[in-house]
Amino acid sequence: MTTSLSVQPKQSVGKKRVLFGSTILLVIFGLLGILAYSPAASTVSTRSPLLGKPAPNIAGTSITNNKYVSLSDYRGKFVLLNFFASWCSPCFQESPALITFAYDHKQLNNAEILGVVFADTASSASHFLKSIGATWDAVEDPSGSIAISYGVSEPPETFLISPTGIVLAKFIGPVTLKGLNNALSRYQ
Amino acid sequence: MDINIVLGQAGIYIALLATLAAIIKIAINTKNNRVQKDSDIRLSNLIKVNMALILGGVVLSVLAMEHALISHDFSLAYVAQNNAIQTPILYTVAGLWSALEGSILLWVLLLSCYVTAFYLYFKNSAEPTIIYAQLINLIICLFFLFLVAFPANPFLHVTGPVPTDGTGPNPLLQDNPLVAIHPILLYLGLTGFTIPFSLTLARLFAKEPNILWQKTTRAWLIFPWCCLTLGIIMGAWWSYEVLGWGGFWAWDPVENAALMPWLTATAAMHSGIATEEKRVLKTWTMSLILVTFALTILGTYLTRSGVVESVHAFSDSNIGIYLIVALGVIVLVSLYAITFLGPNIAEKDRSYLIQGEISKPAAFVLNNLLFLIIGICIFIGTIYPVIAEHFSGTISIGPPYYDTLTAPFAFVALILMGVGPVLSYNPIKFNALGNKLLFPALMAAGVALILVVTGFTNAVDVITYSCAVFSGSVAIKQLSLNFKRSEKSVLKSLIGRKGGSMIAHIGILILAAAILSAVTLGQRGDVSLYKGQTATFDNAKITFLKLITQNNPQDTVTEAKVLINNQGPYYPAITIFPNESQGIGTPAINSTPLKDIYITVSELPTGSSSKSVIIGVVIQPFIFWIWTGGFIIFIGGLLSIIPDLNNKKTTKRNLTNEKEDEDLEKITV
Repeated sequence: MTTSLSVQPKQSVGKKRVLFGSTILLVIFGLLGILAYSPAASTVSTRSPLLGKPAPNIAGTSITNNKYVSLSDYRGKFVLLNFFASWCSPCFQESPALITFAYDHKQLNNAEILGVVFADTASSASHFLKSIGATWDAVEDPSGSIAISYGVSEPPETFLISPTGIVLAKFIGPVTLKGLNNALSRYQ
Repeated sequence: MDINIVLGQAGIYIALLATLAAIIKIAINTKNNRVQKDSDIRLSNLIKVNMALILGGVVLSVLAMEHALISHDFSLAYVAQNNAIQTPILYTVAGLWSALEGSILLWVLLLSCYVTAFYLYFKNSAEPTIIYAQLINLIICLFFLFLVAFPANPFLHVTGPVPTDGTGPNPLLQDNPLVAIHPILLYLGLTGFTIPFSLTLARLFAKEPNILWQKTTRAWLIFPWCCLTLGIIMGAWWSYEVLGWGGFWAWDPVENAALMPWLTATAAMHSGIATEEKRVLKTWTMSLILVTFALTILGTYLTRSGVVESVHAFSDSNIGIYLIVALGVIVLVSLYAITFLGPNIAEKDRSYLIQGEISKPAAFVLNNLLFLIIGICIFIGTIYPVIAEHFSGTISIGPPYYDTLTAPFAFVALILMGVGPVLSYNPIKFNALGNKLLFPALMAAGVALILVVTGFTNAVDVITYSCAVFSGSVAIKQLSLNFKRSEKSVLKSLIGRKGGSMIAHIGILILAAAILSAVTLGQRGDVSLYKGQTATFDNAKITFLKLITQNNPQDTVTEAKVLINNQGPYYPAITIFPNESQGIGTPAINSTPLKDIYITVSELPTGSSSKSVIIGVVIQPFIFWIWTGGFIIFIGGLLSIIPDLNNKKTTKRNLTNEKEDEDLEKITV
């Protein structure tokens, strides 16, 4: 058998090459390490210019029971302001987390949820809330002005508001119970 | 115990054990890092039974899952979550890949098909490279089998009593038959990159290779590439037909996850030509293939770990950490192989072949750089938000980033597609190149002139169309040369790399021009219409006739009966599923090769006072050609590998190296 061209006497591998290889290795492993320690996107609160600022007030007739509600009525408790729509699939996905959160904190009497209808009709939104078993109030936002004042572009987006009316955290995408409770315990 | 669960679990464990045994067998036989020469260690002697058990076991558990889905066996948690009694049969079958666990099972099925195909193709081989490659294939198989056997096992019993009905698949996945075909094609692409990866690693590790690595790897790389191309296009088509926003690509992290390996694989296919014909850029091509596979695993991680927010992402899974570890191992081994073993396979210096600026290898290098730059832009856009979270809080990177950064490079690639094919391995003078490209350039200028005269004002469009015509006429010219060369047989001229690649180029050009037209010339808006009213939007007459509500057992559908330009009727609809309160909008599309008129029901009348319906209208030209272009690329890719299928001999290095060298010198001088 003829010697194959590709088998050459073992060359010493150049220092530069090793250095280059190890640099790439370190960079990639750094990236992988960060990835491995990345929590699920939905449990992390997001930056928003509103954080630390007083929450813009919200007032209107609740679509669930026709009572007049206002965000300022909730002072003294944490408020989870949840922008949702009946047509939004992630809103449905996050509903179990919200239901559990509402139930747990009703017992503790320290936090409540207030829904804001995002680009949806009152009837389908209230139908949606009924179907997921939600008991909290929700206000309509027909002109979209509430969404604009909170900088909401795509539901679901959720804000945590302190008992004194300050915006503490913002979540984009479906929330998880863990993420909500983490955020709440950070500010309690 | 339920029969589906028993069979399904049994299948997985049989395959798992058979894979493990096969790995041990090969490892023992290749002890001391070498396969004994001219002994009887052929793949068929070593692992024949194992291979049968692996494929058999995996097929058994896939059949058990399908049987469970079709018979609505809700004692399986997976079936209860992803199927309901009313789910139509097509979406019941597709339930196998509509959630995390099942999708990994499908992955395992396709992977084991590839590994079996590899075995059948090379079963009589005693080549160290082939045996190592199969060893690596089996290790990768073992990893995915481990995932389905333990952390992502789809055959778990529901906790608590067996429900009488399931929750059904996500409504978005019950809307269009493309759901059945798009994931399979995509996975055929992604899993398929396992084989070129293993062949490359094996070639680096094997001490005395006796095969032409590039020739062997070529078809194994191009076939999955074809499937991935069509899978991505089908995904875009699905999103266009179903999601109701009239778009087809959103730079979603999961879309990016499929596009990144496509880019590196495309680069590898091109530099691979130079490797095959002139044995230059070999380590480079190898690196690209290793990167491609690592990117498929990264994509799997991004999709299945929940770190990125995406419409496609599977939520709440615990396999992320395993995938990260696997990715770490792959990176480590690949880097070791390229850094330390790469110099051994780097062949006699042929860099003189790349010296001339205007030569084919130089064009391949430029092509590779363009694809890599685009890939790196997308990689940063996809990964950076995840990294930034640890340092500065969440940021989101949207389409403008990707559009702005990738478009210029894609544009240069478009022009290069016209220049590359006419170049040869001998550097030529700029004048000679000018002569070769004179006719295509004139064609392009003519088209530009016609467009401007007929009132096209968008400069980007005019330039892109004329560049597409430029590169397209080069491709057609190459095809006609090929036609003459192959004794005027159309079939012969289209088959093989020279023909197939030019057809794929034409597909890409059609795709690029169509995407650009849709994006720059599209119009979107809303019309609010009462019953019987007609509105005109961008020269399209939209007439709303009436609303029809159907209460089906599995859903409630509200359709608007609409005429487009007095043709139709078309029925855009909103569907409400009983177990899901969200409504799913179904667009209706009047599609012609020239333009698509895409209508959706944006809002149904509410209350008794207003009876108007708001209809969303999107009008975009040449959408049809996006799908057609994708299909042409697929066909072109397949045509280019046909000669490889029946040509085992060419993969053996049957010339002595000296002779081969001489031949090369003759060609190049």
